[in-house]
Amino acid sequence: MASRIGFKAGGRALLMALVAAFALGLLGPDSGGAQNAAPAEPAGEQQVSQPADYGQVLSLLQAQKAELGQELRRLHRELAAVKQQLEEPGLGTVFSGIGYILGLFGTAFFIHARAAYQRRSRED
Amino acid sequence: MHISDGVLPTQVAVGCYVLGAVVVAWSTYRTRGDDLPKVALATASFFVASLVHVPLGPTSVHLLIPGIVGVLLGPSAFLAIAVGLTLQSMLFQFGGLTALGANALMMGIPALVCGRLFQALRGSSRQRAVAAGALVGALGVALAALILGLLLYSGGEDFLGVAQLALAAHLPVMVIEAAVTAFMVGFLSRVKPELLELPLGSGRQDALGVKA
Repeated sequence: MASRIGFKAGGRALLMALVAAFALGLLGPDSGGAQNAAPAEPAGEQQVSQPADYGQVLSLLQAQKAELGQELRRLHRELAAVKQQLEEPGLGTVFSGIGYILGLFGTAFFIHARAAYQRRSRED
Repeated sequence: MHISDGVLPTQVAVGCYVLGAVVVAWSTYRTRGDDLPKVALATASFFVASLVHVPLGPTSVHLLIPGIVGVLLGPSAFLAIAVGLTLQSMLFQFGGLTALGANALMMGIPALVCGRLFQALRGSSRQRAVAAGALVGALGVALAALILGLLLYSGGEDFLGVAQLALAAHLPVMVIEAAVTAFMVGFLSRVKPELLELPLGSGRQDALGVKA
């Protein structure tokens, strides 16, 4: 009886050892230790469901890329419009330019008129 | 139609500056003191005309009016255009400062040619003057496009390609400027024909007939 119990106990221990060895054996070659077991596990999972997931991720990424591309194009258009607006001279610039022209030619005309006036008064 | 900085080779840009300065000096010498207000008015018109945009598909071109300036000012047109372009490049960033000589030649030479041609063609009747005005109005833009092609050719561009492109892009401008110049000549010859008369001789003479 005792030997049977002992056998049973021994058999159970053997079974547990076998299970443990099996478990370790399954994970062991890939991970080489318990520390790397966690990252290795998802990789295993991904490998299992690879085709469906990749397709999904790819289509998601493509959709996102198209969306972002559209957004980017819109931003580019807006940027170009803003640039053009910035390049367009304002009313103040236009008037300052006209002021420069009138001032320049006004001064020239003044000098000319003064000279003409002095010549005339010399002749009189 | 402006040439920007760095488009032309340095020799061409410097050469254009020198040539432009000579023509400006000649133009200033030929300007009568009494005409200065008229020159100022035409300069201001030229300065502002570049802001009048003609939409053309996705882009737009602006008025150039070398023809009108030439008709109004004759030899003084180059001075007016040089001053106008200097202010445009400084205030509006139209064309670069280093290409100012080239830009002045590009717009000023057509103006001088147009002024001369208008005086030769105008005749005595108003209809003929209006027709001559329309012709030189369009011709000014066409000549500017041709000179642009020539200048860019010196920078290694294809002359025919650039000239054709510039001419094609400025066809609407040519039509508009022909109409505007014809209208202006018709109006001035009715209201104030002496504005279309151009001074002969050196120009260093004031209205009182006193030589400087």
